[in-house]
Amino acid sequence: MSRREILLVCSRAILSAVFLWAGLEKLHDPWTFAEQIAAYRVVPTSLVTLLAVALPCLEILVGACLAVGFLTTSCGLVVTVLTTTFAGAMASAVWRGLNIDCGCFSGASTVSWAHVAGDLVLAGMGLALLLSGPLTLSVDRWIAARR
Amino acid sequence: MRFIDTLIGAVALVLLATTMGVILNRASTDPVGLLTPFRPRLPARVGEIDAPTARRFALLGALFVDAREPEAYRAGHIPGALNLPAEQVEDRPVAGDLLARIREARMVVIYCDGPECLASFHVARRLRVLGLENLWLMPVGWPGWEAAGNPRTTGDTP
Repeated sequence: MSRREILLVCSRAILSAVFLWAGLEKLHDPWTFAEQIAAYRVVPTSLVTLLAVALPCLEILVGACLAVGFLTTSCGLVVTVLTTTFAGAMASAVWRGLNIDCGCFSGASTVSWAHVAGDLVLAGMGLALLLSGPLTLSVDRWIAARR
Repeated sequence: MRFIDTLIGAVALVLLATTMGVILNRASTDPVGLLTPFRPRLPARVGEIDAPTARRFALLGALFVDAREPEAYRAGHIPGALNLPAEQVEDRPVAGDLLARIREARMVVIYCDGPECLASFHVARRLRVLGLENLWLMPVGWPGWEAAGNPRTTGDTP
């Protein structure tokens, strides 16, 4: 494996773990997650609950697909869009002086510039996957080889 | 072409996740209402009332707490209402004199800017934590109160 490929596989593994963890932690309590989303005051309240039930499932789905390397570039696109949006929402909350829970995982953690930076790092990893082709140790490569 | 495939895959993931989320929510014992304005769970022993009931409470001597920003309060509020913006109670202790006045009240009705506004929830939750009883939320808020033709006043004071 080339150095580039090792980095991409590591990014895939990290994103998979982070997304699976984040999704599973939030899945069991949509009420709390909905309240965390509403606290940002950037989403219309009629969309808050739909996001609260859909986002954890999307995170789990993306995490599982990345774990086996299926639809890697699509997952990269979803990760990039999601984490950039989260970073924007968090930056706006910090900028407005809101002292709210970041809603990243189940534990309480007040939103901060560190969270924004963390999400931008994840967005960078997602972008790298979006721009990559089928990776080693992936279902994508197995499918590509059979075509 | 490759980007189109990527985009189709991403859209499929989003649609599948949304479907999964909706199904799991419907199967849940404690589902959230979808595509309706989100209302958090009421804090324990806090009730909800409509504008006519709030008007009756006002006649019985209820104290009103306006959880909106000072600018909105200044532009128009329920006569006698105290201004206690949600951001103030989240970030710092409630001023002693304000808290004393709220404690003295037989009933406290908290309102903000209508069904989509959550500031009254935050204030109610904080007041419950401080041990206050007889708290009521008026979800229709200031717009509902005003639309019903109830009394209003303006300025910085109650």
